[in-house]
Amino acid sequence: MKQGEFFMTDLTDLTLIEQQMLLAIMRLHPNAYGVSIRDEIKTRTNKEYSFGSIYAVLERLENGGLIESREGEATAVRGGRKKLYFTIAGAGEKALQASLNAMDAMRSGLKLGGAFA
Amino acid sequence: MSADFKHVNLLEHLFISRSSNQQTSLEHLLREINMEGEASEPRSLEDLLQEIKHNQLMEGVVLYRHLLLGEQGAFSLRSSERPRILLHHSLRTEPPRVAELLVSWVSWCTKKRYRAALRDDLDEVFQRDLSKGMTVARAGLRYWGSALGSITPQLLALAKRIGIFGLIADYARRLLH
Repeated sequence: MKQGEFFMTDLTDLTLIEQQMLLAIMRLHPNAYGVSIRDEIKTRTNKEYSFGSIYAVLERLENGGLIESREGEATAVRGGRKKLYFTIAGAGEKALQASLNAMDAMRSGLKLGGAFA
Repeated sequence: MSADFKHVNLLEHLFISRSSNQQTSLEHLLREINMEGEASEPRSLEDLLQEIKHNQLMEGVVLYRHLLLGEQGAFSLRSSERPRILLHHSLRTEPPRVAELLVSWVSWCTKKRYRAALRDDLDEVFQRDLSKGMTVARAGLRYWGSALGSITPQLLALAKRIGIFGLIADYARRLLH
């Protein structure tokens, strides 16, 4: 991996919550919506975000063209109301890959907690 | 869960599928039911048809078409079942109204569909808490907590935008001098 390869683009400028959100959307595909995204992040990271934070991030990601949303069908659990489903866009996958690569490049070779990261 | 609960739940699915003006196939209905994880094991199409047949939820001819001819598309529900479903809907516990209004009001600056999705997600968690056996009061408290947690970042942003912190700082400075 060449040094400085990832500094040429702002694709790596994803925050932790944005990374987690994109990964959760990919994992839950095609059933990623507010509640399932929050549950997935909570199960895997033990971190519970509020729905306000989740939707603020989702809105930002959608405005940036990294994810797409569509309205689902009405379900009984929601009293006949529709869910808003999210899917990752091509640009989102690229940004996530670049961001995770940048993180890997930063931690490569470092000893964390007595083991190689 | 009792068999009766499953029955009502299935009826509710059928009712909503019909009222949402969509061509709903049995496959779609099955996907919906399995996705919501009501049963510990995913149900097969055959199980679903047996359940529908056992509870006499569909008109005989339509059921026959589905069972023997594998026909897809919209299906009809016995008209005698409608009052039971409507009764079940009217018994649905609603989340705290004030908290709900507060969420809708504070998140006015977000997109309309995001606002609706946020409110519906909070409602889904509230209903899930109740279905787990939580009391209405406790589920309501949790709803309030989630609602306040959801609007706090937006309230802070709003306060920043209209310069409330500056006004408070000015007021405090004036008091001190």
